[in-house]
Amino acid sequence: MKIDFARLNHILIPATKADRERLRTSRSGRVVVFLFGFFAALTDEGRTIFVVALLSGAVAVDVRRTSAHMLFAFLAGIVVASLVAARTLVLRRTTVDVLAPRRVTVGEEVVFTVRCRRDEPGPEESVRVRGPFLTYDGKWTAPPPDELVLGAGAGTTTMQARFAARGLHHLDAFTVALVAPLGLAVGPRVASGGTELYVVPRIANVTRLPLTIAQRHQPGGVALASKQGESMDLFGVRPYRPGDPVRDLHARTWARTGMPAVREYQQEYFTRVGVVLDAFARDPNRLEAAISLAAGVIAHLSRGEALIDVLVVGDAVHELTVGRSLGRLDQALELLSTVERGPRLDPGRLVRRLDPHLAQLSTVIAILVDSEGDALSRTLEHRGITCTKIVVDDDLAGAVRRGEPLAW
Amino acid sequence: MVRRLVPAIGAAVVVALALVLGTLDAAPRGIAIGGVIASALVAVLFPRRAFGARASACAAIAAVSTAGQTQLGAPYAIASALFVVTTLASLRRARATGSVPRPRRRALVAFVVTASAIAGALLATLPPVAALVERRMTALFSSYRSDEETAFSTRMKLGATKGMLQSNTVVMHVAGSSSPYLRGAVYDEFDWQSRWTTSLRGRATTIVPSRTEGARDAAVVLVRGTPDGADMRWFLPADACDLLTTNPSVEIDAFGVARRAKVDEPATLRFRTGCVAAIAPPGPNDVDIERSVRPQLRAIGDAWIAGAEPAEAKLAAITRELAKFEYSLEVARDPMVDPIIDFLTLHRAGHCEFFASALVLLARAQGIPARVVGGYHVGAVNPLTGLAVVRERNAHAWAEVWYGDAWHRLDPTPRSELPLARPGLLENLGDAASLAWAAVRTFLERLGPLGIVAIGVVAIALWFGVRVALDRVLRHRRVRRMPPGERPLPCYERLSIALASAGVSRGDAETLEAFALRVAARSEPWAADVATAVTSYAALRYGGVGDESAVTATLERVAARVH
Repeated sequence: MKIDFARLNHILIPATKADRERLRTSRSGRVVVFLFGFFAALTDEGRTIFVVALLSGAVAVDVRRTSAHMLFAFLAGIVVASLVAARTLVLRRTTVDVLAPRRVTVGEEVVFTVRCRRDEPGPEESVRVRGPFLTYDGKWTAPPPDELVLGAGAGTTTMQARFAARGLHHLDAFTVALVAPLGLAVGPRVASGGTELYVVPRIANVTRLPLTIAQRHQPGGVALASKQGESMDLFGVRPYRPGDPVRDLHARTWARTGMPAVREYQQEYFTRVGVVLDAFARDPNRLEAAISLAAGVIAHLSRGEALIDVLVVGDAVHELTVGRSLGRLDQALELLSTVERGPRLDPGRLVRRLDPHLAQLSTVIAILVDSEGDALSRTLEHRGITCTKIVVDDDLAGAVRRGEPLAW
Repeated sequence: MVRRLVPAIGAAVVVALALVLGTLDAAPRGIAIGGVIASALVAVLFPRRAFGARASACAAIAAVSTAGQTQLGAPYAIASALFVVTTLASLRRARATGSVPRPRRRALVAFVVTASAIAGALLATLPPVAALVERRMTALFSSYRSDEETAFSTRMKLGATKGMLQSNTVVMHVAGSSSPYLRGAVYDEFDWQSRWTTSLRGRATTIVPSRTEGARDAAVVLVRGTPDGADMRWFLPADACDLLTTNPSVEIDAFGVARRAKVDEPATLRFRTGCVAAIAPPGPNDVDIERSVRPQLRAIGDAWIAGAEPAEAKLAAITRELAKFEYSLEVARDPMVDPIIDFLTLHRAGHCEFFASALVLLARAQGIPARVVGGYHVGAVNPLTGLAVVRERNAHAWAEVWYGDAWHRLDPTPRSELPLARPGLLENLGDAASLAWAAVRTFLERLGPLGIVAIGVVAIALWFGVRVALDRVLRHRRVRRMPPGERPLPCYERLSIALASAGVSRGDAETLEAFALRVAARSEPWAADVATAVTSYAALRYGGVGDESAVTATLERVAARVH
């Protein structure tokens, strides 16, 4: 079993911002914050100089016979003085906002735009922007931003990060603080609100996926039509029969033929698809590939005529309607972003759970990892629903990872 | 580019200064020059500005720190101060775009004042603190040396007390007035290996009879004896007598040295001073000299005394000559020469053992019986405890010579050099604290485990009592400090106090609604009314529902009922 050491390192850090705040305000948290508060007040250079000062102090231990302790005295004095001076640098009437996309794909760079605004006039001053402590899978991909010069107005800077794991990421606040002379420490911080970010799976490049749609078409129905009432898809005109709505009379045909004629509309039909993702996988890489493939399948189908009504992940049945401008792909991606490894697929139980939806489904696409899915296929076909199986083996997982075009 | 090279240039200047002014060894010299080169290379090669600047500054600081591995004095201080400021300024520039705005005046003043104060304080205090630490470390490691080297066993290697003479460790406390010379060991045999030995063969030992009454004017509190706890001695003045002991466990040898039989005996010994010392007359050892040094000692003694008679005059002449010698703990003796001859002829410097040994051997060479006595010279009295504190650095050696049918003490060590430095306030405080701790330990040992547990329980109960009282006081204070909008209504406070007096109080994390439910479940006649009132108060305070005057009236009425 592979151990995710990055995750293990963060095992004691709560996942959500609210939990982290609770930890910080707890008794032990307050003690830790008090003890290490000075370290938090130091800038990157300040921390470097602090460590270097300690090392130079260790080198200068033979005070009576060497002069190196003088250097230690100056470094220590400047570090402490920076901390003291920083306490006087309070940033008043300043707000910090962070603009970040709601979703980002795994492994892609996300840009946080930090906007700092001061609402009182004053001389220009340097401020440092510091990003939050990232989640275990996050990494800043660019050096920390340069100092912002803040006058009476707004200043903007950007920070880039990359996240390696799917899911909803709760990030702590971005902070802004004035810089002490020589830049070793910063004053009390002004914080933004927390940032929430969905890291969604990569969308596999599915270019062709024919559906066995001949079996059953489901009427889209009034609920899915663009307006209340009967469908507006014109089928043709026919002679008027008593009882037809007057508003459907087609004036031109009547004029041309001399016989009253009415428009006849055809009810729309949709191909309604259920996507089943088997979340049981021994190999996490294969599971990731399956999730990406599910995202790719949904993205491909949503561009066509089909409607995706149900997304099944493991045992969980999610109702959603994607396709034909009725829903957004993001909805499915957010669901897929939180998929964890699940139990082994049980076809009987799955079909029982799908039962309320089977009546309207035309076909099911099953994305399987560690099972062939024959039992599921048989059970569904017995209920009159065709099942398209896609088994994610190592070759397919590799192709998904490489972003190769996939066609069936 | 030049701006990025500022740390390297600054380091190069300081290293050059160190090479010109000081004698830097090859290794530090190499590291310092390598650091300068590394600093310059990193600044040039690293494309990431902030990281490159930081790495360059670190290498430069390492170079300057290594350059300071020799005595350079003020020039190094000035150069390194300038170096630090310029380096940190360049580091700051690496994180800024364009010009750096001026910092706030208040911050700048705080920065300059604090940096100067702390750097100045460190420069002033580090050397004495380092000296103190060095002495402590020396004392710590010296305590691991063998018995033979402690100077207070039956054998003493000449020069072995050097470590002790640099140690501040408290050995014992002395109450009352007595002679400042406390005897702990008497050495009469000197061998070719420059070792003094206590030779008690065939000499009688007196057991001190138990005595529990009678006036005593002095007491010795023995804190510790030899490192392994064996051969524990009392360090008593020569005129001590009438020892107050609860059992006959103290024995006095023929040299007048008192020993404790067991380590776990009481640590305090009371005695009377002003008696005639009960020390046996000299034996053959007291006039014996090692054959190899006898002619030289005889010649030196003859030259010094220049025909003086009698014994007192001879001894006075020898002491006068020894007074011209230098007191020193750091003399490198010639290994090919006997240490005493080296002391008398070559280096003419040493510490108390050499002075005492030289006097004893020169006296013996003139036919005067003499011996070396080891012990402590009592130092200053701690004003906080009223006890004289004897530290290891008070260890001393002097001579006892026989003339006029009695032993006489002679201390040839120059008086100004006796290690009698007055302890500072911190040392006195530390000494008082260690005495208090010893008293607490004794008290706890007397209490036994059950007593300790009982005291612990009482202490915990007291702690909780104090906390509860403090909570009540602080709660009122917190409420008073709240902004008016957040402060609870006074009538609710009155109800809370009334409920508390009735034995019902709201928990710290309990919501008003939960509190109301808990109160409602009680059997008192007012419980339902209180619950309703608290609920309506919660609705008013946190939901803005209800009429404040009506809620106030209800709370007042209910509080009165609870009372």
